[in-house]
This record gives sequence, C-alpha cells and structure tokens, in this order.
Amino acid sequence: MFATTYQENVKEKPQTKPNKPTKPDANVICWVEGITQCAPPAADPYEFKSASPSPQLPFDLQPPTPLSLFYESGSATAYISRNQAIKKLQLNLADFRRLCILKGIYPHEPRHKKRVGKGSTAPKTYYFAKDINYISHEPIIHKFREFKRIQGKSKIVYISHEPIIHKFREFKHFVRRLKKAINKRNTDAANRIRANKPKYKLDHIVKERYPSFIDALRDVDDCLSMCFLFATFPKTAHTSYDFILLSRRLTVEFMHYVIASRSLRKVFISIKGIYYQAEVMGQTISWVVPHKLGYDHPTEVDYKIMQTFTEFYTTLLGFVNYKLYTDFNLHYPPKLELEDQNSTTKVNAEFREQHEERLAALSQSLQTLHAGSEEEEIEMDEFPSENTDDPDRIEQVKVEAEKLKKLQNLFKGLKFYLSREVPRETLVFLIRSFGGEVSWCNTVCVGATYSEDDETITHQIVDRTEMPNQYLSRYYIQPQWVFDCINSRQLLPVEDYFIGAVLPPHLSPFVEEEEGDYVPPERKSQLTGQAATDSGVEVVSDEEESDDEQEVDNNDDDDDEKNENQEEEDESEGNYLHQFNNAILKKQNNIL
Amino acid sequence: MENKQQTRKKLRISKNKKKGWKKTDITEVEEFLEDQRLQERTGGLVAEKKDEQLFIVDKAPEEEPQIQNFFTFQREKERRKIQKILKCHSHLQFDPRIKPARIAHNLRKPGIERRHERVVERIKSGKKTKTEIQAEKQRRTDRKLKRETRRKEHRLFKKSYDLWGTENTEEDLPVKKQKFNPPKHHREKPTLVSAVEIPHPGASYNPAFDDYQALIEKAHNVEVKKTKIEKKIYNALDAKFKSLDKAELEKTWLTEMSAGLADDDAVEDNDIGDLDLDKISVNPPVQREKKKTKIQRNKEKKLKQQEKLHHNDKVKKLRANEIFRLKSIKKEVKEKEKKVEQKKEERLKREAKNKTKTRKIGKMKFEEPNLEIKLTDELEGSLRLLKPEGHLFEDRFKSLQKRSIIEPRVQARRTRKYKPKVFDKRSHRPEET
Repeated sequence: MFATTYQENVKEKPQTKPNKPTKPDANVICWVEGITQCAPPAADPYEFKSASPSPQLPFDLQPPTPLSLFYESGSATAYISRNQAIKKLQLNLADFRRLCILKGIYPHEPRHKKRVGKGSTAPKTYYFAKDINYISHEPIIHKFREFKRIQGKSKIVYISHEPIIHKFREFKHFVRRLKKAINKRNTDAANRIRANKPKYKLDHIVKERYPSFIDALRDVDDCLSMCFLFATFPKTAHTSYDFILLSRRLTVEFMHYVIASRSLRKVFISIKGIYYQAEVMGQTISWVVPHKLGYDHPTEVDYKIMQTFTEFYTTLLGFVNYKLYTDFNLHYPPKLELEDQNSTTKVNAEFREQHEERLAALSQSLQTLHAGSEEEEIEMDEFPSENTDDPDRIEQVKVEAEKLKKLQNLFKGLKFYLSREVPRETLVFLIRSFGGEVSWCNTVCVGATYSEDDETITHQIVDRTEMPNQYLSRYYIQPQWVFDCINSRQLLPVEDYFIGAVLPPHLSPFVEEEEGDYVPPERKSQLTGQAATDSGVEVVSDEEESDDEQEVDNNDDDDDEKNENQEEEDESEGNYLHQFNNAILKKQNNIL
Repeated sequence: MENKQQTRKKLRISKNKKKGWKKTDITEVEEFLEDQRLQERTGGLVAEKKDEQLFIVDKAPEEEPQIQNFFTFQREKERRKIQKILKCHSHLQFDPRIKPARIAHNLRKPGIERRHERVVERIKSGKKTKTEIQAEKQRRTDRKLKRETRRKEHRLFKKSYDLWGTENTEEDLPVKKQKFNPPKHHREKPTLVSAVEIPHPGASYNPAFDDYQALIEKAHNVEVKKTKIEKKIYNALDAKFKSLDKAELEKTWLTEMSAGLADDDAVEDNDIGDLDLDKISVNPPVQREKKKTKIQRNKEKKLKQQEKLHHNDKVKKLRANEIFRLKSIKKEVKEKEKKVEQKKEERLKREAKNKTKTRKIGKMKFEEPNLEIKLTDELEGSLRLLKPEGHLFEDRFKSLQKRSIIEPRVQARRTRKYKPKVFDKRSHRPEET
C-alpha cells in the first residue's frame, strides 16, 4: 500500500548541442579542480535584460543583438537542470530532494525555457545554479554522499570546510554495514551498528533560513500544521515513531504557550479540520489541526517527502518553543505548576511518560522561571494627546487594547465540565486559552481537576440529545457555544445552545466583509451585538432571570453583582466606544 | 719428545717454498694436542690435577667373595649378557666425565604451567589485578561518556539554547556562522500563497445557508468545467473516430444487410490506372535549357556587390550626418527610455500577479485537489456526528505543490509486461459435465 515509487523524468534526453564547439562549463571546472569558487557571475534571472544596443545608432541600423547564441551566458547559465545538479553534487535523487527540502531550495520555472534548455523545450525541473553552488557547501551533504576518490582518472576533491565531514561520510557506510549484518543474521552486530547510527543536526540550517526569530515566526504556519498532523499518525513503515512522538511533544508545548500567553484569537471548525488563529509576538499565526477521529491514510501522498519536511519543522518548532517559553518567562522544558520544583533528580521512563501525559492533558498551567514574582500588569505608555498628529489614534489603540484584554479573559470565572462525547483536547485548549477552568471525567483522561458533582460548575458541555440527571446550578450547552463565543468575542446567550436545540450556524471568523457585500443575518447580529452591547452578560442575565423560576442558582447574588459592574463599565466607556467600533472591526479584519 | 725426533728419520726438504711446508710431518704435534684437548674436555688436564682429584681412597670394606655354584654362575652370565652394552650404543651413553657445555642457572617449571597455577590461585582468592581494576574503571567511564554523548546527539533531545540569542557571542553558540553566504534570492518564497489557506465559510461543520450554497455552487462549477472538457475530448476523438471494430462493422453493415437483394456483378475497376505517373513531383520539371549561363551569374554577383557598396555608403553618409540631427536623436533616446520604463512597470505588475500563481516546475501540471463538501443530507448539526471530509495530509501535500515548493508527481504504477498464464493442475481439474 505504501510502496510508492514515483515516476521521474530521470533519464533526460541528450541535449541537442549547438554546432559551435562549446566551451567547457566554468562551473564544472571549478568543481573538478576543487576550487571553492562560485560560478562566474550569471545574469540575475529576475532582472529583465533587454538587449540594449548603444543609443547612438538609430534603431534600424543597429547590429543584430547577440542573444546568448551559444548559451554561454544569461539564463542558460543561470539555471541548472535537476539532473545536472544531481550529477554535480554527486547525490542520488532522493538525497537531493531531501537536501533541497532541508535547505529550503525550491525549483524555479524559467521564463524562457528554450534558452535555458539550450534549444530544447522539454519539460524539466530547473534550479538556480547559484542555489546549487550554495548547497554544495552544506556539510550535511557528506552525510548522504559516499566518499570516493577516483585515482588516475581525475582527482575529485570535495569542498569541505567542516570537521564533521568524516562523520557524515559514514552514513552510506553505515547502511552497508547494517545490511550486511542483517543478511548474515548477526543480530548482535546489527543492534550495535544501529545504536551507532550517524546523526546530524539541522540547527545551523534553521539559523540560516531564519536569521531572526521573527522570520521563523512568520513561517511557522506550515510547521505547526504539519507537526499537529504528524502527532496524530500511527507508526508505519513510512512514518517514524521518533517524529510522531516529537511532533506530539512539541505541539503540546506550543499549545501550553498559547494558553499561558492567551494569544489565541479565532477558531473555526470545518469539515476538514479545526482552524486556529493566534497572535504571537505581533505575528498572526494560523494552523490547522485534524479532527480526533480515525482516518484512512491517503496513498497519494509521498510519505518520504513529508517526513523530511517534518524533520526540519520539528527542529524549527523546538527552537521556536524554546524562545517563546524563555521570552515569556516560562520554564523550558515545561514544568507543571503542581510539580515538585526539584524533581529533576528522578527521571526514569515511567515518570517521564506520566509527566508527558499530564502535560498533554492541558489542565494545569506551567511554572514560571522565577517562581514567586507575580506577573505585573503592563500598563500602556501615556502619550499626551497634544503632541501627536492624530489624537484619535491613541484613543483607538487604547480601546483596542482594552477589548483585547476582555477577549483574553472571556471565560474567566467560568467553570466548565466536559462530557465524554465532546472533543476534549480542542475544548480544553480553547477554554483554557480564554481564562476558563475546565475538567472532565477522570476515566476519560488524566489531569481532571474536579468531578461532575462539583456545585460550582457553571457550564457543562454536552453533545447528546438528552441528559437524564441534570444539575440545576449549571447550564448544559453544546460545544458550539464555546467556538461562537470566541469568534464573536463575547459570551453569547446560552439558550440557543441548550441540549436538543437547533444550533445557529457556525460562521467562519476568517471572512472579511467589505462594504456592499452580502452579510448573512447571523453574522450581522454577531457584528452588531459586538458593537452595541459589549458583552453578552447582559443578555445572559435576562435569561437567568427567566430561568430563576426553574433553577436554583447558588451564585445568583454574585452574578448580579458582576452584571452590575459590567453595566457600569459599559456606561463609563460611553458612546465613545461606538464611534470606533466599526473602524476597529475593519482594522481587525484587515489584520486577518 | 727428543727421543722421538731421534728415532724418526729427518727429511731434508727446502723450506723456502710453500710447497715444501706441506711435507713437514706434524702428526706428533697433532696427536699431542688432540690428547690434551680430550683431557680438557674430560675433566681438565691430568698433569695439572692433584692426586686427590685423580684417585679415591677406597674406604669401603672389602666384599666377601661370593660362593659361586653352577646355577649362580649361569645366572650371572645371563645377566651380564643382558647388561652388556654394544659398543655402538656405549658411544651414545652419557659420559660423567664430560661436563655440559652450558649450565642453566635458573631452572624452573615450564612457563604455562606456572602461570596457570598462579591464575587459578588468584581466581580462587577473588582478588583483581591492578590492570583489571583500572580497565574496569576506564570501561565504566567510557560507557558513561558514550551514553551521554549519544543522548546529547539524539535528535529528540530537547533544545537547550536560544538559537537567535543576541547575548551569546559567536564562539559560544553551537551554530557557527556559515562561511558561504546564501544567494540574494535565497529566502524568497516561490509564491505568495499562504501556507494555511483560509477555508471557505461554507466548509463549516454547521454552515450558514448562504455560505453552504456558495460552496456547493463552487463545487458544481468545477464539476461542470470537468464535464465540459470531457465532452470536448469525446467530440474531438471518440465521436469522430470510431473504435476499430465499430468502424469495421459499419463498413460491412450495408453490404451484409443488402446481401442477396441485388446481383452486384459490376465491380468497379480500380482507378489507379488513371493516375498520371509522370506527375509525381509537385515542382515543375527541371529543364536543361533554363540553366543560367556563367555570364548571367557573374552579372548577378556584380549587381549584388554594387548594391552592398551602395548601402554601405549610405550608412556612412547617414552616420556622418548624424551630428546634425542630435536633437532628434535625443528625442529618440528619450522615447526609448520611456518605452523601457513602461515595459518594466508592466513586467513588474505581471510578476506581482504571477507571484500568487502556481508555477510549472516539473513535468506535470499542478491539479487543484477536489473540493471537500458535504451533501445536504450528509450535513449533521452536531459535532458528535461529524464525519470529516478529505484528509489534512493530502491537503498539506497539495499545498506544498501549489506553492511550487515541490513538483507535482504521479505515483508510478506497476504494470505487468505480459499476462500471467493460467492453467489447471491435473490433480485439481474441475469435473467436466
């Protein structure tokens, strides 16, 4: 099923050479003689060079333009076909692919295929010659490449500048030795050889591809999606268990960071998967996570390639996590709050496994690096409004910041309980990243903090048609309430989401409506609700009053107080808020 | 010695020649020396020895002479006979007078035996030697070191340093700066398509009616396009050119159906005979008379040359006169520059537009994946009943292809060269009825 060999155009047709005797390729000479010198300055393929003659002559009297007649310059030398590249680097196709993926080198479609193909327009994969020259200096290459020196014929001196080179050369040797041991059924030797498998690190490549942390953050979308996906995979011949475990660990770490930093903004449950959007260090990051359900694994995908991507992405995510944690003053590797401070001494496999499980439960928050120092509230700098050109802007920013704070504490003070039929991880991640407390039945997963009979639970998330024994002190709601609350940035009235209720549609938060566009009524009500009443608590309170007859609410008094406070706040913000609401909305949409 | 010399006859030989020397009789000297050497070998010179060394005082009491009867005599005789050693053997006997050539002064047991004994002793005592203890220690440290390095080297090892840290100097960082700078375009993305594309709002698990309709329409349009292309291909191929067997059938259909209805004796003659065999070539026939003469050719050549000269003159003149049309040249240059600028702008615009397009970087063209939709009756309002559409792995793979990061490829399917032969085994042949 997984035996995938891919059709390649490995055998390229011999190129029709021009009649004139061509000069030997300068690049090749460099390579053979071992001179660490790049190709002669090739024409920049991005720059359009019109064959501009001297302007002294009128157009009709100009000599014919010398348009790289013999393919010795210009785009003919700027590009290199894949097969040429492979020959030059002395790799096989699979290794070449891996190297390109790791180094972030992509093929490029030339503008003039005929010129690049030296007269042939056959479909080929082309790379920039400069790129190939560049990766020829990569030390990892020696890991893939077998070292051979042909004496007598020509001296092939490898361009090597790293001391790890001889270690890398071992790789093919390692494979050969292992094969031999296996075929001789020498299990001891095979195990020994396997244990001494040559390894390489991709740290320097991460640094090279992303010189600054922000660069890495900008490109982390793909990385996150792939890691979240890989974390759900079973172990097969094509998916290494190492990467699966690593992906899982790293994604859990990332989720913990998002929870701790309260940086989640949007969520969308689509039929394909769950889309998240977060704002980390000013960068909008979106990623997609598969539903936690059984899947048939697709056969049309090249697993080898995808695993190579994952190999790089796990390295990247490891460093990104480290940086995020340390910058946010969190302990890395993550430590749970209730964990013993000095538990580093007893680290056995069982303990580690338990630790990972409890981490993956997402129910506890993490230890900060300097325990004891409480996080201080960061206040915005005061800018006197007279000094700036746009006094409104400062106000605008302030309002925005306040709204953001409100969103981050959307579920603060609410206590959720998850029934066993709802997707636990998704909901825990969402509720916790907006300040809520959450627990579940302890038979479902480790890490439950309180049981179902806790009277202080405010919301129980249920996804079934009926619930025979209900507590009166809490709302029984469907999971969609959580998603919709987050997307509309307010607590929505719960009655639309009761057990058995026909749910309002789950709208995409990623849609940005322009003026004149059609806006569905549900979205409209969301938007207007967001603009007019700043929180849904008011609506909830109405609803509570109506429910009071049926339900015995313990926290009635508290809630009322809360509501009053809320109302006061609303009034204090006043109409000022309404003016900017639309503008801000638009801005938010633009950010997306 | 002198007596002997006297007894022997003196030879009178001249000794001034070498030949004469050989005849000198030295047997006496030789004998003497030989005797002395023998004495030296067998316990030293007799002349130099003391009496005590040479003789032993017999202090043992004298044995009484045995009474011999016939039988004892006989027995003795026998015994002697047995004891008697042959002379040839007696030469091989050890001569106590001869001292051994070298006396070993540290006579011990053979090495292996001794070592073996010692090892047994040591093992019994349970003590370890110094080297053993040291080796064990070294082995332990080595193993520890190896384990540690292996653990550190392991890919799963948690990242323990800040890759982008500014505090660390370059020497401290595990990652050294590359010696080779990447090309300028290195960090440019092939396309501007985002890695995680925003999903269609209709793809929600519980979509709004309009969003859902929009998505369905989109999917419908895709399907319509597909069928259109299919139809076009069908019209161009299958509809025009029927498959061989069908075409054959159609040809013979009329004759077959009308067979016997009328006698068709008059078979039309072939028209091949009517063809003009002379007119095989399209070109007019070559005629000898039309051949150009040498004079004609020369004339043409001359004309050509003249024309060329004329043209060159004209060019030269024009060039010479260009000094007078500086103004217009400037204008031309300006115009041209303007044109170039315009072209550049257009190109940039075009490129910006192309930046979101998928490039064709391999043999195959990128094909958009199928839109994932749920039909109306498959839509469940509940998250519990949701059955996901498509697979994210495929989505990621296609996304990479769409962003021109990897080239689209098609899985190579294995095809058999020949059909496998099928035959029944005799023993398992099904019964024929």
